[in-house]
Amino acid sequence: MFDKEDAIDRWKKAMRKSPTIEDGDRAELEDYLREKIDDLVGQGMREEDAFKKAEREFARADRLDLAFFGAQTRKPGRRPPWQAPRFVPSLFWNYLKSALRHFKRQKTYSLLNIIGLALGLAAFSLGALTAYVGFHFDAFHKNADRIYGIVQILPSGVQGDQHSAITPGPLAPAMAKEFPEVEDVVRFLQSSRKVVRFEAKKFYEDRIYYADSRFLSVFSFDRIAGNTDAALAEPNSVVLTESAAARYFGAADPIGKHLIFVDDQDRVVTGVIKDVPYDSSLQFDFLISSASLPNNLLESWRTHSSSSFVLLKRGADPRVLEAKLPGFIAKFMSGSPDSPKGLYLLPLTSFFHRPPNLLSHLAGNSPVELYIAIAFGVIFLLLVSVNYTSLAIARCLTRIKEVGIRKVVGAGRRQLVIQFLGESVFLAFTAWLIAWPIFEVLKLAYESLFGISQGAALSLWKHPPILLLAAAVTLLVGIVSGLYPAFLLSAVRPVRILKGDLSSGKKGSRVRKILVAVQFVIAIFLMLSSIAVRRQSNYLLELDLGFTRTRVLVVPVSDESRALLGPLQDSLRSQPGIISVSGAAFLPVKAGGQMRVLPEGADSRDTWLMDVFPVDYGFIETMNIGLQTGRDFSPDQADTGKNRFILNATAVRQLGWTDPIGKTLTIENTTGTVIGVAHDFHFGNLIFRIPPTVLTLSPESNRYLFIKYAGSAAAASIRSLAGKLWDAQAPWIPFESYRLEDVFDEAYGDMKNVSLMFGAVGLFTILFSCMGMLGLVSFIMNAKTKEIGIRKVLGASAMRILRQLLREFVSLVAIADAVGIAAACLIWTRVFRFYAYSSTIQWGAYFLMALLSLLVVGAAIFSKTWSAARQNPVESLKHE
Amino acid sequence: MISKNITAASTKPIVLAILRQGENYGSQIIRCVREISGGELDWSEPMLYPVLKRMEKDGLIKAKWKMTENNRFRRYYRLSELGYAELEKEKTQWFAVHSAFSRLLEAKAESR
Repeated sequence: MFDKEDAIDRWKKAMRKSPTIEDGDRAELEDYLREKIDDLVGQGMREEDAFKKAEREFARADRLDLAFFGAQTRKPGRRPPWQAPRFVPSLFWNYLKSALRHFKRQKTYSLLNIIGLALGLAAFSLGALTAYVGFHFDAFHKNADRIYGIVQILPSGVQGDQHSAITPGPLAPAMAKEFPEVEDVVRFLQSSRKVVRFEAKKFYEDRIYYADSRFLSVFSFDRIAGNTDAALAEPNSVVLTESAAARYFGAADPIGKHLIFVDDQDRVVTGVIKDVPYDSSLQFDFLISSASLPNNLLESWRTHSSSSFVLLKRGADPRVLEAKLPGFIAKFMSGSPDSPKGLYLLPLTSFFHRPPNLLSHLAGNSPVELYIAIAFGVIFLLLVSVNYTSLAIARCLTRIKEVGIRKVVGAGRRQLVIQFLGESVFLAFTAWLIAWPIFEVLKLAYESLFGISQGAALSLWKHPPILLLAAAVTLLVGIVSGLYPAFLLSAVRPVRILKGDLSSGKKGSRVRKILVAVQFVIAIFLMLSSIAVRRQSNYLLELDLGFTRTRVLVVPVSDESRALLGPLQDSLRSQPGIISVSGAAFLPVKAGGQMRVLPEGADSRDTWLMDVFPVDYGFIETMNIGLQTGRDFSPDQADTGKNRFILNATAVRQLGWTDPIGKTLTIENTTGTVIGVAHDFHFGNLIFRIPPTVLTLSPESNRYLFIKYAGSAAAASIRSLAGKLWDAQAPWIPFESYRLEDVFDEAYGDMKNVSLMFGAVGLFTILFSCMGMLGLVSFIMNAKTKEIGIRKVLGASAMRILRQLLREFVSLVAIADAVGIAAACLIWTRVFRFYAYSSTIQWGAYFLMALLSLLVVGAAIFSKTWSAARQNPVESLKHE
Repeated sequence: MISKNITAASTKPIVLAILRQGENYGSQIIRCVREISGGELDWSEPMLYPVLKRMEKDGLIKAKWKMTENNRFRRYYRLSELGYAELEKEKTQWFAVHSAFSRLLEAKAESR
């Protein structure tokens, strides 16, 4: 029975849904409706038909709500908020809404996914940026592409050629005269450590360069005060960096003030420049004009003391110049045993990552760290992308119904792929936006961890290529991770879906299983890497280097304080708690001064390149180096003033001497006798094997004092004792000291940090992997619930399914573990081969890790499946 | 059948003209139009209401709720001062078009 009021009520309800038809409008429309119905009934129609006809009028009214909206707004042309902008293709708006709706429904999952991806992008960007900056050191100079350093190839007898960027002074000016391609030349040398004073302030300064007047024109260091073009023209002028100026003059203007350098040399400040940036291999705080140097230093062709750089004219080809160099050598440099075999130009930008055996004043580093940074970034990103994809697949499975309906109303496969792919890319770029602030935070952590102060160098905005790379990677991740779900979903059969059969589980699970496996591989690899790196750094730190470095205090000495060393050493020796005192011209770990050595009886061309270390009396005893044969330097044996040498075992072995005591050696025109052979000791960088070494007696070259103290004394008390004695002798010279073992810790400390990083990321990864796996397991369990219920009803035990699942996953993780272990072993043994000394693989720890991971996996699966297995079969069968 | 464009353009002046004759309400206006045009003007009827609303917003007409015999609320409209002026304007425009059009047609008929 047709009820008019009922029908009208329903019609009113439908009307209420419109957002723009207000109550008053509705009332009016209702009035119209009733009138119409009455009219039609009056014409003889049945009430029901009348109602239907009247209702149809509303259908004919094209977008009534739109019309009402248009009536309400001020601007008649306006569009209602739920309608897309005109230029947007129609389905796009729908896709956007669909995506947002889906996002809202799965907030936690989606958020986790995005944040995870953002983290990965940020870490990747940091790694890429670090590597990029690292490989582009010195690129900030305006003329960077035209600046080349001159490198000599020096013959060194038996061991092969020595490449040295430390050249004779006249070399560069001569090149400027001879070659039109050269626009400008500049030389600089590194000064030894000096004490610098201004009024009451005094400090040790290590970063002092002597430089030609053209230095600041050829290289680009931002000036703050003074005229940099003329600043280094006059002798005894000095240019400071900002922080150096602040150290001595505070906020006052330093220009024109006088700084006193060692030996009361007075220098006037003529300029201030900004602090040298992080990515410069020229590191200094003071630039003293080279005109201040004694004449003979830069004018002799025989003295190799300075770094020489040329600035080529625009468009000049360095190879053309290099071809002319042999002629240049013949003209200016031939006729002495020091003559180089060849000369070549090395671009300024290649200096930081030069081969380690190229001698130079410039700072340098091995690129290994950079490769680690890149590796880190890539691994992290890979990891996160895998996770993102895995979660994306998981989420998309909940949208099967939506896809089914879309297909039914006519969506094509291509359209669906576009929709889901687009959604994935859109989400990826959202993650990209979030990645920026995360990047800044990561950067801060990284800088503080590795002690990099110049944050400015690591700014993304200064390096657009990395920015673009990050965007490209985001796009890639979005596409790749969206591809599989997109295809998966678009292949869905709508009829099956709408009937309620949602188990397209088979396909999805296989890929997801692979993804989870990959995640585990990465996780295991990272954890093992952390262990490997930590082990290597511990190994290096604990290695017996042939000398004792504990309980030794180091006091650096400058030219000024050398005079008081004698009396200081004497008073120190008489102190209780101090076992012995000695000195040397170098510091272990940072040592490495090679010279040419001619053994007795050998041809003058058969020289050996050996490390030569000038030391003081008692050095061997203080450093606890064992003597194989012979004796230590001793004043009682009338060694003073004579040339005496002690060789290390490697030197003796290489020279092929069976009885070295008494034999003579000539080192750079100085001939002396061998009085002892020491057990091998390693003072250099542990990347290299022990080189042949000669210790020469040379107390006047001391740059460091070594104080060995008893185990009962504390370093602090020895330090204050030494400090007091020092101040008693020379209160105007600053006293500094540190422990020898701290020097080592600092040198190998970075490795600990890297290990930490690996560990942290590894932990993170395991979390992700477990999450991914749990998600997968619960999904599968969900799909299998009915199956379990049926089995139970039929009397079979659900344990079978459990066991099968467990077996499947445990074997998966076991394989992943094996791959991860293999990868870690392979990679790290290869990397550590760079070091002459490396630790062995700790199999125990590796297997422990693998076992742990299996246990974790097993527990996780068990917990998920247990509840399903115990469930009442009736419930399981009701499950939909 | 009168085209959509012309129907749309003529809605406002016709409503104004009808209201000039006195106060009226929605359904009645629709009936009036159907009668007067002899069915030629085929309005999609509910669409009148947004138009009325717009005209009210523009100040051309004023509205008032009144109670009917069936205890229903009904909205009655009447012309405002602005409405009268607007009607005059429309009248001028339409007549201008009409006379131009008529003259053209007459001219054509003669030369044939």
